[in-house]
Amino acid sequence: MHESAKGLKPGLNDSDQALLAWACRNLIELVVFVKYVLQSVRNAETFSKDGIVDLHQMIHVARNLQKQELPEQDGEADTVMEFANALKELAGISTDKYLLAGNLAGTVGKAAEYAAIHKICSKYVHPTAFSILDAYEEGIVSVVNWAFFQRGVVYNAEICKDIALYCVAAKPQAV
Amino acid sequence: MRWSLIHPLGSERHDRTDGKQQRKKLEEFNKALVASATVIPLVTALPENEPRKKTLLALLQANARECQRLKAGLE
Repeated sequence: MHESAKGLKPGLNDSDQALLAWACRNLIELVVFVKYVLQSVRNAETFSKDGIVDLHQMIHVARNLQKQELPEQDGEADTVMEFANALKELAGISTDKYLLAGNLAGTVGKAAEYAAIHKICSKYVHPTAFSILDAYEEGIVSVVNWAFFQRGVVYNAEICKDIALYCVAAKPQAV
Repeated sequence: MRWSLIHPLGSERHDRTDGKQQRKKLEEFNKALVASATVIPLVTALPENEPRKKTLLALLQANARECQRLKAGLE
């Protein structure tokens, strides 16, 4: 729930549902990314370069907005765009699409779980009609909060387990 | 929404208000923190030329941030 709205839920427990949903959703995305990175060195490289794709995309949309809102400063925006293009080229990136956990979930055996949990969490993360009108019904709030928390803890354990197992297996080879 | 749809262990139910559940939440959260604290040294112990070392550390840091968010959601 937004900070400013906290005072509007008297009678409920003190949990912040949107925050729990955010954490749960982000944790299942991290589960997917960790598994993806551990699948192969190539995947790890793709993931580590993905930040450049994000940066490029942000600069691209900001440049377009600036062209629209401040056309007289067009040159500056183009210079930054050229820098982003050069960075992308240097990294050998040919795609404009950033990695989406949802697209990778299937490759790490998490497609069904990801789709379900992501959808449920998203209903609480965004100002959907459900979250605006119904989510603060006391009965459902407490059950769902507990579920978000439980799921989050399980995902954290999964992330730690996957990385720990990798480290134990990788260490003797790397030394 | 049915509890069993999203509960990781199936159809187990919990009373939301009792102290037992609060203690369980705290215990589970503490276990999660212990797990995170245990795995970070394993990654830092990897050789510097290990191709995934930096990425795994960044992912673990992101994981720790989300755990803090999870904790903050309960406070």
